[in-house]
Amino acid sequence: MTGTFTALVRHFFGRFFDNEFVARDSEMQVTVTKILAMLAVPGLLLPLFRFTTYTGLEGYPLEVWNPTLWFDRCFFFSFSMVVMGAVTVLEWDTLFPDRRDFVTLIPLPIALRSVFLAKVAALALFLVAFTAVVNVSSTVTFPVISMRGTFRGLVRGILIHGLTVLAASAFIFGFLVALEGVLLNFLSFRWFRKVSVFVQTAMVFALLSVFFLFPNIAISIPALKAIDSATLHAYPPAWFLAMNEVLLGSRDPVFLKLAAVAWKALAAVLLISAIAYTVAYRRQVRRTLETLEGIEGGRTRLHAWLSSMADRIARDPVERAALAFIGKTTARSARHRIFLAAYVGVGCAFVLQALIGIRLKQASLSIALVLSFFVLSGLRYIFTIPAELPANWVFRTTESDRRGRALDGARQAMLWFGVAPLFTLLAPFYFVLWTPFVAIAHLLFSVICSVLLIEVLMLDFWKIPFTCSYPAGKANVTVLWIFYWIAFTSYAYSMASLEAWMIVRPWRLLIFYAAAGAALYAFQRHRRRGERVFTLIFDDVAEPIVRTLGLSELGWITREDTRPANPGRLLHGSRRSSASHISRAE
Amino acid sequence: MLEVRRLTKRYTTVTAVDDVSFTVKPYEVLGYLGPNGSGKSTTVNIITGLLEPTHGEVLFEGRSIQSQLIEYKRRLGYVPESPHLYPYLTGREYLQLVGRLRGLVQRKLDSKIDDLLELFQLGSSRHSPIASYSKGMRQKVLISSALLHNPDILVFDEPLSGLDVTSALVFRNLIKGLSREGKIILYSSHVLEVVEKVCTHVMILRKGQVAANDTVDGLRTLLKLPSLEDCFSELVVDHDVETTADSIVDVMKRT
Repeated sequence: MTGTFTALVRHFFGRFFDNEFVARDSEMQVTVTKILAMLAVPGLLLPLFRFTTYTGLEGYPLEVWNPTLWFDRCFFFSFSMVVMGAVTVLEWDTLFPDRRDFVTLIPLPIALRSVFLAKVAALALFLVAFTAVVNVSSTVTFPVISMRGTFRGLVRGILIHGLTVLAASAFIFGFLVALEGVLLNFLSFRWFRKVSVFVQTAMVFALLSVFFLFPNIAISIPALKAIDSATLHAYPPAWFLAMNEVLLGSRDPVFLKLAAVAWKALAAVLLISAIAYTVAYRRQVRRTLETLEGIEGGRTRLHAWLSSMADRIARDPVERAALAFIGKTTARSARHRIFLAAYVGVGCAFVLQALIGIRLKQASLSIALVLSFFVLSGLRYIFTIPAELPANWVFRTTESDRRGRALDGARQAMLWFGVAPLFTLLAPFYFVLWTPFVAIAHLLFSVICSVLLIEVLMLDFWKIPFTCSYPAGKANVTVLWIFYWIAFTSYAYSMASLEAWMIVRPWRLLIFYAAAGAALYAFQRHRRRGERVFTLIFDDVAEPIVRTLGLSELGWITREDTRPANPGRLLHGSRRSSASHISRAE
Repeated sequence: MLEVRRLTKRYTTVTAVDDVSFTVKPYEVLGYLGPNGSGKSTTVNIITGLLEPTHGEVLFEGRSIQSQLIEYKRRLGYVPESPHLYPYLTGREYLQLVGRLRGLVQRKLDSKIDDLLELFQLGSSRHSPIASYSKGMRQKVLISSALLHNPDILVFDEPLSGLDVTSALVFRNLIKGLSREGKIILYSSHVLEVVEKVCTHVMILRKGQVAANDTVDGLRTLLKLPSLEDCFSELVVDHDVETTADSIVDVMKRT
């Protein structure tokens, strides 16, 4: 029986890494390993960076140490909560056993109780394992560099830090499990699916806000504590900071109050999650087997209206096909939606920070550009993530000489699903904040910048979104983030400064519009030229382990260039043959 | 006419298809048979343009399909072996996607889709996501998508997979109807009884090579065997099936 139970726990634990987010192939597991390694980096590096700070504090009284200590501890607890929360949101669909689990396990001679206990054990294992991976190094190294006293005191400090980090992670994990359990208990399966979308998206926003608000709050902890500010009571990482301080021996009344909140909140979420999970589990077994997976309502008026709008926006059938496909995939694929929400969430957090902290003249002008940067970059990023890759055969077998229109559809999608809703939301604020002239000028400027950004992001993107494979390590994030940061600041803040300079003398705007028109024309020409020679890419290649100068490939292209037939395959066919995916798969 | 000429496909060390040649003319239905791993799916993937051959070529109306791939795809309808579809699209949305990618006019496309879905008895589920469809329903969506644009060549790879008896009967008659319309049809399957009933010609593949290529009657006469199943067993099955079945039972009973 122990063997069966262990096998079940292993099975359920494995399912956390075999879902829509962590795809079934080994390449994605490489990515997971990389992500885990990246998440472990802050815990490893921060104590090293702070070594000199704490050495410099030697000899000063505790009051001088405290702000720095609280800031750093608050970072670790915030980071741990945000990472655990984000991972739990991504694992939303696997927190409860799904149809596949039940169909596989119920015919076997295993009691449902064993399945339940194994799933709970797997969840606990997941919580502990993930918390450990992200925090283990900082749990040891941070107390070592920041605490002074006996060896026994240091060991106690390490244990308390570890316990608090685990408590913080368990709180957010338990909160999300409880939330899902409650939703499952009170909603029909159909409504649960619909509401889950919004809950996941809202949680991504909330977690990112917690993380990006961290510097503003953590740096003010002494001041906020002095007035027993409501901000500290509303900021969960502060509860766990207080828990840590109280466990270390602090008798500060504010910390005592916040620590009590932490213990109560932790107990409450664990209790609610246990009850909600147990009750929901029993319902889930029956409902999952009785409900046809994925069934949703029929065609609503909204669907019909959106469809007629799409017909008007994209008149070419292929362009319309791409536009509709992108819209439906973005709206219905949890993976794509969550990644897009994460991008938008980061954008919102930047805006929030700009509104709270920075009082620059162009800060309000940059809001639209910051948001459009993250919305459009997010869309561009999710376009590269395949949706049901094996189903892309339909695009391969229907590729026509109008494939360029499919790419027009992708650009239209960015415009109508990204830029249009964003500026529809922002426009009323402009008219409230500014004169009609400034509002219109700013709106026009921001839309033009967004359209130019679409062209830049889609430059030489010869793929139908969601239909091309995405090799692990294709984007070297560790290096590319520097370029992303430069691109972001140039686009959002430099353009905002430019706008602030131009809006003083409106004729300057005319020069900008003319330059933007010329740039758009150049992009269009480049695109039309490219369309004559490209083939759609369905099988992207990973960056080679050993990079060569590619001289032999150049020779191949030169030889091929002399052939008269089928020019489309000459330039791209060598490296990106649409047939290669099938051949490798087989 | 569709002509496969000396087709060979190698995957590094494995030769999946070895020097295979055949032709299919309009009004003909070629049954493409062979055991698992005989190279049927590889041939089908090459014929549909998803794979490129190592050697040999596929000709359509006398020209290599590689030299006119887009034009060829425009005239091709394909039902793949595995029903890989976008599960979050509804049946109707999927057919709209295919029709639009093929450049069909919206109004005609919509009425065609609705009619096909009704005829395949999917009318009531047309607005449900494909994730909720049974295997047979998915197969019907695939068959509908292959017929939407009135293609000249039809490639069916295990098209009856998951279909109920009534739908299978409809499909058998559909093949005959398509053949009467002058379509070129390649029908790859393991279901020998159906192949025997709907195909004018049959080709049997064994370990990537052609084991037989004739009309169904011609093959039966040649091998002096009463059914296609007997011909298939004679040409392909190289072990005693009864002994194998008995061995499986023995393994099962082992304690």
